[in-house]
Amino acid sequence: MIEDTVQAVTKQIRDKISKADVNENIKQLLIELIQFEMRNMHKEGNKYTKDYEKMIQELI
Amino acid sequence: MNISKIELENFRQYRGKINLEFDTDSKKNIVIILGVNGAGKSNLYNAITWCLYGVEEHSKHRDGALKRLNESKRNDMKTEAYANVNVKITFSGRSPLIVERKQLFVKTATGGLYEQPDEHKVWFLKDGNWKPSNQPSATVNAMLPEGIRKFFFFDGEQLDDFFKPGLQGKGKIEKAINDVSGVDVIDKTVEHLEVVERRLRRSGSKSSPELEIIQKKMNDLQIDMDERKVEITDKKKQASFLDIEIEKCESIVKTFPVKEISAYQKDREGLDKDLKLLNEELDKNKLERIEKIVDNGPYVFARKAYLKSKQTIDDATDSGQLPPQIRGTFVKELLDGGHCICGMDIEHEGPHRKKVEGYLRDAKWSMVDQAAIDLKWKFDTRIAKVSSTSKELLEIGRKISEYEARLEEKQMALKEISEKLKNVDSEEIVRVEKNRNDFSKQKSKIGNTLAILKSQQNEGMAEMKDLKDELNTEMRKYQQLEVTSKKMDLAASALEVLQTLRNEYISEVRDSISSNTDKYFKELIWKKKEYNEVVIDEDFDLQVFNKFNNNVKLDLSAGERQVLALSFMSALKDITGYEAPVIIDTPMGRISKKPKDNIAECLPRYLKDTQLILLVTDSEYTSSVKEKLDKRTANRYKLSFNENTSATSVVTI
Repeated sequence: MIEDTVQAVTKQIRDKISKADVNENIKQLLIELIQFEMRNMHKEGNKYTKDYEKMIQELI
Repeated sequence: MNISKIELENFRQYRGKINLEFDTDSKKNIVIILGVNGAGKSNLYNAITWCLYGVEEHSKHRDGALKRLNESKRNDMKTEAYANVNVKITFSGRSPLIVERKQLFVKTATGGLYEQPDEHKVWFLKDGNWKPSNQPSATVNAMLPEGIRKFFFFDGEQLDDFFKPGLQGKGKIEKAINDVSGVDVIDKTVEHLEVVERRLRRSGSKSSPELEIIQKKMNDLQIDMDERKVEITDKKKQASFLDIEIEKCESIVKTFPVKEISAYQKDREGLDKDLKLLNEELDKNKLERIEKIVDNGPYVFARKAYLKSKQTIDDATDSGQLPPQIRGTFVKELLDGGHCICGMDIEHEGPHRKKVEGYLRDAKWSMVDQAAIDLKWKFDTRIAKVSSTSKELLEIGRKISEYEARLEEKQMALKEISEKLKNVDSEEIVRVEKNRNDFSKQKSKIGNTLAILKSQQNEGMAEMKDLKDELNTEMRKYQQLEVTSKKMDLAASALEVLQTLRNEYISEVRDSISSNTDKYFKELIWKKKEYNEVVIDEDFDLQVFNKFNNNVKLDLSAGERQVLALSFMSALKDITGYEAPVIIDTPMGRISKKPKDNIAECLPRYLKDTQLILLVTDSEYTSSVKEKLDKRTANRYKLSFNENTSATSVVTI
């Protein structure tokens, strides 16, 4: 159920990201980062730096 | 998601095993649990929050876990005997769950009581079988996160916190809106992206001494900014505390049983409102003046040059050095169309066409002519603009002087009231007024410090941006840092975009909660014509405007405040999208008869797809309230506390 709500929130943010007047790579990165956080929202002490850097690396 | 069963064992005043079963008919979504004060309503509420989240809201300041075990059971226990406290809740609906929290107590040889840590278990239904969850807290949080459960399970009498004056109330409203918006995933992304961006910056700056110097400056600046952030929060808290103290002092004066004295406070409130409006107008006009000066400044500076240039062009036109204001393209169009503006046929060769061709020939002889004509038009427009701007600035200046004079007048009137209060024939009022003035002075000082701190913080942010640009520029000089520099750029840009979008999203959520609170309040409130609008402004300040457009939030009666709170809670719940039950302890404790009926009629309608468990007293559950709720009531229980057994019994009614 929480996923439904969070998905609704992130959908709205995703829509905002898609409509934003910014570079496509920024949009792509933001969507990937939010999806990553959603997948890991219940994990405690979640390690993220390597994943973040990897996502950034792939989009530069 | 509905609660279909609550099983209690030895929980506080519930001795032995007690079950409450609720029908889960979607048309009958209300459960009534009736009991006089002390019968066990709040402890039933505690049992639910303890089972789900391990906290007992109503007893955290009163007693500890030891008293969780029923007192008479504890007394009856023999040495080394043990007893369980157990609460088990079954949820039905789309994702059925069973949640249980258990704690074992042992009577020691010395007669004391030893408690074991509690044990939390959750089962979910999968393929028709109950399976234990490996992460019970996470599973419960998935159903209803602890951060927002207070908008589903709450005490009707403790909702006033949202409407306290100053930052305390605003802070709670802002937090509530952030909590229900579900924006925490975005906030986490922002927080993590900030860390990664800093890491990238640090890793890159180790490559050269120049980069290290910039990085050091950035680190130092960041430390300053973090410290300043703490200081700003601290000052805001102090200001909030002072707001409450000032409010208390003013309330004493306002309710003082001498009419002349209480009238002073009412006058002061009127003056405060006027001052606020005047300050807003003054700020608006000052801002408008700045914008006009910034927008038109270059034209004002260039005015003399415009006038001189225009005169030069005019002189050249008068002396025949420049043609009249006819553009070559216009003459060419006339020739192509074959008709002159005077109506003559110029399509064929003849004197008329020849004359017009002459114009074209003359107009053609220099591009400078065209430019001069264009410029003359532009100069005219700009000279006119400078002239109108000057008039507008004079008018704004006049308004500013007028507002300043009125402000001074109001401030003088406020001083006079304060002087009068300092000299009234009441030691209490003289003392209270002195305290109020001391608090006001302190608040004013804090306000000035805050303004300085905020300005320094803004400067710090601008400086940080410059340093980041400097670092990036420096990094580009090193080929091996090209990739890191690109990564940093992408991370920083993404961060900026996400922060902007997050704020836009929160504004939208706030606007929606504001409009729903307004809608519910107007439906629930009994004085329909008295109130004009409920608004949550950009600063998260909830304001209630009466028909004269005055904010009367602080003047609402206890019952009206409770209605406002219920409206706000319903609006918050709408936003969350969670389907958890709503449990309200004492929902209408302070509300008189007519409004109670109104609430009994409206509240179930707002929460029509939600199970609503109401823990009510006899005075709340009147015959007319019962009548209004009956159609939607699934179950009714009565709690009775037996003083002889020190235990609560539950019966169906």
